[in-house]
Amino acid sequence: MLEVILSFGPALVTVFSGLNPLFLLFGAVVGLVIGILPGIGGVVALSLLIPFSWGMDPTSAMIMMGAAMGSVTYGGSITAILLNVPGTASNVSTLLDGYPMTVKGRAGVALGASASSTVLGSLFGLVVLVVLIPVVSILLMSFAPPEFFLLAVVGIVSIAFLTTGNVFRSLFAGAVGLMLSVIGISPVTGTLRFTFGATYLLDGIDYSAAIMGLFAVSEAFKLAMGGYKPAAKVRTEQKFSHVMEGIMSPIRHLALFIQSSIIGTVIGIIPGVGGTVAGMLAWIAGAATSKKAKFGTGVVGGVIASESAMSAKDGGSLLPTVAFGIPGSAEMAVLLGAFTLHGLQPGPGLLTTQLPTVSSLIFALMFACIIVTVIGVFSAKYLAKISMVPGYIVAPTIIVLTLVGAFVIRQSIWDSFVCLATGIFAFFMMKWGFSRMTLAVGLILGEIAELNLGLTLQITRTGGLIFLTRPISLALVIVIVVTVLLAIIIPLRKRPAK
Amino acid sequence: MNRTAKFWHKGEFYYIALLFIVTLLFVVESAGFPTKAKLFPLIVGGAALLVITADVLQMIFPALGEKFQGFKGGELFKTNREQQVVKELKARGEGDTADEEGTEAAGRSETMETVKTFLWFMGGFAVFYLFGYLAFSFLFIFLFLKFYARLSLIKSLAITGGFTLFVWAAFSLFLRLDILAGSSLF
Repeated sequence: MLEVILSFGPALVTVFSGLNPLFLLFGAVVGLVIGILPGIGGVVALSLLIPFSWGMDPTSAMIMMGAAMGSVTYGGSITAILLNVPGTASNVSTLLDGYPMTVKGRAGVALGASASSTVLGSLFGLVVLVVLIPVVSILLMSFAPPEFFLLAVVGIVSIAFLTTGNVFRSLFAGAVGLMLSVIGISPVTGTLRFTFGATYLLDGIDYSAAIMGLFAVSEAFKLAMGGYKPAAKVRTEQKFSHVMEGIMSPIRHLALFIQSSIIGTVIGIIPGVGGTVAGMLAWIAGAATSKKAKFGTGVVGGVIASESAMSAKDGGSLLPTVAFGIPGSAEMAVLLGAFTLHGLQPGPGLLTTQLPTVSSLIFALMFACIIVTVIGVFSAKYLAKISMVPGYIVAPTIIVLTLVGAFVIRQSIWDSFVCLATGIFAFFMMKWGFSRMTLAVGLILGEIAELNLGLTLQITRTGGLIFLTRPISLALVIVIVVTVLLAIIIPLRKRPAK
Repeated sequence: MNRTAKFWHKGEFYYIALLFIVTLLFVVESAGFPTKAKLFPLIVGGAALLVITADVLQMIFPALGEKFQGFKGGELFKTNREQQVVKELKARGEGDTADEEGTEAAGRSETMETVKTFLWFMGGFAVFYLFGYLAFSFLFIFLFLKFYARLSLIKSLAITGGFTLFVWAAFSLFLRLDILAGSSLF
């Protein structure tokens, strides 16, 4: 704990030194604008920032990306409250009470409540993260190759079973990611695999290019095909007194705020379960515990519950990402790709020697929240107009930024091709219910999984039995089995009898 | 089932069949590697074959698919209240806008749109490959806005100009990329 707190000083200095404040502001503005645009969210924002982070030192890159991550949800809330259009999928729960408040002429209260809940919720999640990092660091010290191999399996299995959709297809997508990670030189023997004589494939598929394709090109494809229509006229009357009333509201509804932030943080820690679930569960829990106000009719409690949970989720989902390399959400899968690009290896190293970088990321996330909420509260009416930009204008710009961005990293036109090809492949994946996130996780964790499987088999004579004889390995095996069983049993129990 | 649904259903089947064949070839090719190099690909490929076969069986025998309906991800966090909220939102005509069945004409248009968008993106990549990134940015965005989105000439030029300037500043000034970078002709 002390180590984490000691890393705050240098991290704070880093965030405000050199060009870093500009990177922070740039990331925050990109996140805010992309959050406002309906149909695209945090994953696109982070994917588009990957090429811009190339050439920066890892800490600056993380500051920029952390800022985008911290601001994107609030951008989506503005349009959810003012226009009844959720900027990102997660903002659906904000819309339930936010828009009815606008209709009642209380948009200022909703925007104020959303702003303060975002900042405080984010702070709550990050405090939990800071408290848990030392605990996880100790646990990580006892990890060896069998545990690291099983972690990759836990990542793919839990994401496949916990995200919505066809489990077979989600698992298959994870396997495709692992299959793609095999291309190139084997990390165990040095054998060339699936290169088909192409020198380009010797180093394998570039993660960054593939991730930009998976999450940004596929969205651009959808947008070009009319994925969203521009929003209608902005209707709002904001009074300063209303904004202030909203800003103070999480304090007046402290129990609801804490309850929602806990839900958000816990949901964030569970791999694969994103902000949509966090916001919705917190809203439902708030509705159940609220005795006076009727949620869904335009009460400020609904906005507080949803926003604080969604923001607290970021801190929670950073934990499995930085500690185990298992992304807590789709945004974290892209962030994981950025880690790899900048040579940051999630796990013990990141939580010890590179702790200041993690702390800088935490501060960037927090400061970005503050910056965008201040901007958002006072210019929401104008910002909401961004959502009127039609998809067919956004789509070609995303294509140019991603294809050129993929090229820039290794100066290879084939990386742009990989980016486009994975994007088109991912568009059909989305269409037919294959999880893009499990594919990304498989691709990123593949090499680590293979290397650790190879090492495991070298240090044991019992073969696969080693996974059952080591306590942490056994616990991870149990996690896998329990996840699978719960995912099968609970829906069967929920199914109504005929 | 309208034409769109039929197309996508058929397309889905071919997509999965293609994935199955590619996975099978992956396993066959992996079997030829030295022992230590083939272990991981064989495990992964084998598992992939298993799950894709289960999915294909679900598609071929819908009765089997119904039996395994509980085998669906994300159900752990779904509550009856959430489903109720989604229903209420749909009733209000807002929120979830996905999966609305279109008319026959809309179906044809969606199929055409998919092919058209695909060709536009591939064409864009060809421009990048031939003329480099700056020409790609200008030509692709201008042509896309003018002919695909049918914006006016002035609007198309203004948006393209502004965005290309941003791309040039970001990549050439900030990231020091040559303006002909990516071109195979120059």
